[in-house]
Amino acid sequence: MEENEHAITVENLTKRYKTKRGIFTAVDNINFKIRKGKIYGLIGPNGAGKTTTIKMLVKLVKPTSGKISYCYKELNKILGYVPEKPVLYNEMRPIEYLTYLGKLSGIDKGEATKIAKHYFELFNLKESGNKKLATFSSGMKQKVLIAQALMHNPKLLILDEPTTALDPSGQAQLLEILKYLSTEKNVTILISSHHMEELERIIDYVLIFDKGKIILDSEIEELRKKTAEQLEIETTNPDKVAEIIRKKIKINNIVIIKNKIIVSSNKISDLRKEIVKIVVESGEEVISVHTVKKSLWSIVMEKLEK
Amino acid sequence: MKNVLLIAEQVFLEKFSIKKTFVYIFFMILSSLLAFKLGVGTVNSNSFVDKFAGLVSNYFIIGLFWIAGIPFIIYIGSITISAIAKEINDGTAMLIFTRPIMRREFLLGKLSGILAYTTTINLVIIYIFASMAAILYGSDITITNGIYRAATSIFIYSFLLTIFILSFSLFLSAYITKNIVNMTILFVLILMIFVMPIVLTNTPKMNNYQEKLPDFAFIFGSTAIESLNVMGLDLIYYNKDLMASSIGVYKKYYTDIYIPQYVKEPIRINEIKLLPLTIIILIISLILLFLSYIKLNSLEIQ
Ligand SMILES: Nc1ncnc2c1ncn2[C@@H]1O[C@H](COP(=O)(O)OP(=O)(O)O)[C@@H](O)[C@H]1O
Ligand SMILES: [Mg+2]
Repeated sequence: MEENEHAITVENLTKRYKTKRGIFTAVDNINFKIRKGKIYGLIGPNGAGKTTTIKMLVKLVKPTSGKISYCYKELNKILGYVPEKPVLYNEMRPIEYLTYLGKLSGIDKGEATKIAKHYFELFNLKESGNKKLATFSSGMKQKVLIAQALMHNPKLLILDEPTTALDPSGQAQLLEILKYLSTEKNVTILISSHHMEELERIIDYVLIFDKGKIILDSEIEELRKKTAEQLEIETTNPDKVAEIIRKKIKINNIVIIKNKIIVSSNKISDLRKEIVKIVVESGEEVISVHTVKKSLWSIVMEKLEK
Repeated sequence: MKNVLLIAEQVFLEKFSIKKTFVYIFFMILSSLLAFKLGVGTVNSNSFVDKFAGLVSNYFIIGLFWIAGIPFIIYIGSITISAIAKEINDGTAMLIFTRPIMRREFLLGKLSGILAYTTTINLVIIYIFASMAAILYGSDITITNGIYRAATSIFIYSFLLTIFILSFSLFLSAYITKNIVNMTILFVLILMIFVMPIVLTNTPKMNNYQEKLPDFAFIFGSTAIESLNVMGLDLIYYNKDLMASSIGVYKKYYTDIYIPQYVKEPIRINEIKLLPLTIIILIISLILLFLSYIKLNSLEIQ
């Protein structure tokens, strides 16, 4: 892959904080690359170092050591940033607020007002009325926060736990927008979460953080391939069927639970047809056949528990 | 430059959308008029010179100095401290600093917005007060004329004081994040400028200790008096006495305090003229501003 295809390159990035109890390493010598136009999930439990990493990426916090390089000349012109906390001007009204931040991003006033109104409607903020932001619920505040990051059509979008305050329909809407921006507009997106399942549908790459380190950096498809799949065969004579499968296909990972046979392999989708054929040919009665996939989340959990 | 104006405009509009602003303006005009009325009540003399002195150079000026004095400093100081420190503490500055805005543009924008705002309300308060005083007491054209000249001189003084207080509060809020500490320091400054001179001029002159103390208020006292001089209002001793105890010029003045009151010859308290004073205030403010900028530029926003 050519160098200029990377939007961001992070090398040996470390952040230490001086605390009362001594020096605390929040981010510990991490390395990763962000490809242009892809969606990255930064996953990890609370305190893993996601926010600290993001703050260094958006230049609000200075690294203790290490280097971050961008392919962009002026980061702040193409950056859309959604912080973790709802840092809004409580005395302002949403349209006024969005227009102001739009203007600070270099959009002229008329255009900024138009875009502000567009997002105001898109995120169903109309029903809240154009009241002061102080009166907004946390979900509505989050939507305003997301809107401000989208105002100026950013090329790089960094969102720190944006889904936490949203309701399920708000989450679905956000993920849909992000997928659209990534596939149609080639926007590079980093999104953090302590929960992977909700992001699984849209992310292309996953970076798993734990105790300041990145413990897994993988393309999501790669991860899926490694995922062990299971074939569940329900039959009246499980012992005999299991015996046949063992003999003919040389799979040892077979477990029998009551009248079910569970075959595990990371090549199940390829083997499925063959196994079913063998079982049917043996003349044994087959009640049902299911493929069961382990969720990516369970893999992440396994990783974290190690 | 465009960004500076955008931020300044926002500060300006925001301040005027707050009801407290109008409460402040109303309170200031009312209390100044009250101070004026009380003062005028004590002028018994029928002589024109005394009446003029009483009205224009004296109680009127005390009223005006109230406007440009303690409540004014507290007000500007608290606005400035909150304008920047609050954005950093609350984290709202995150969404400005991740946009194509330089931190110095943010700083200058906030400052010019507050300066424009305080200058506007000061103009409003001072000239409304002056007009009301002129309507109520300006029976003579000379008095009316004097009232407006005094108003203008106080405006000059308060503008210079604003610039200093702005940069001083900014400096405080850049280096100290705790609001309560900043307000306390501001309060000490007020004590030094406005209260200490009164205490010192009214305590016995033992061992000339007043002479030995550093005169922090010296610059502001001189600026106030020179602002009046520039507008052609020469002070007579009697007024200088009042002036000196209402703003701080205690040191040099102290030795003159027992001289009989009605000497009509104008006497300068300090030899420094308004222009050099302005330059001194601007230089001090610029240094404070620069130090604030250095700090703000390296600040991490958590
Ligand atoms: N300013 C700070 N001073 C001291 N410790 C901090 C500071 N900011 C973050 N930390 C610590 O760094 C660790 C990582 O925090 P953070 O990056 O917010 O994690 P995450 O976003 O993954 O939940 C936490 O243990 C947190 O307490
Ligand atoms: Mg976090």
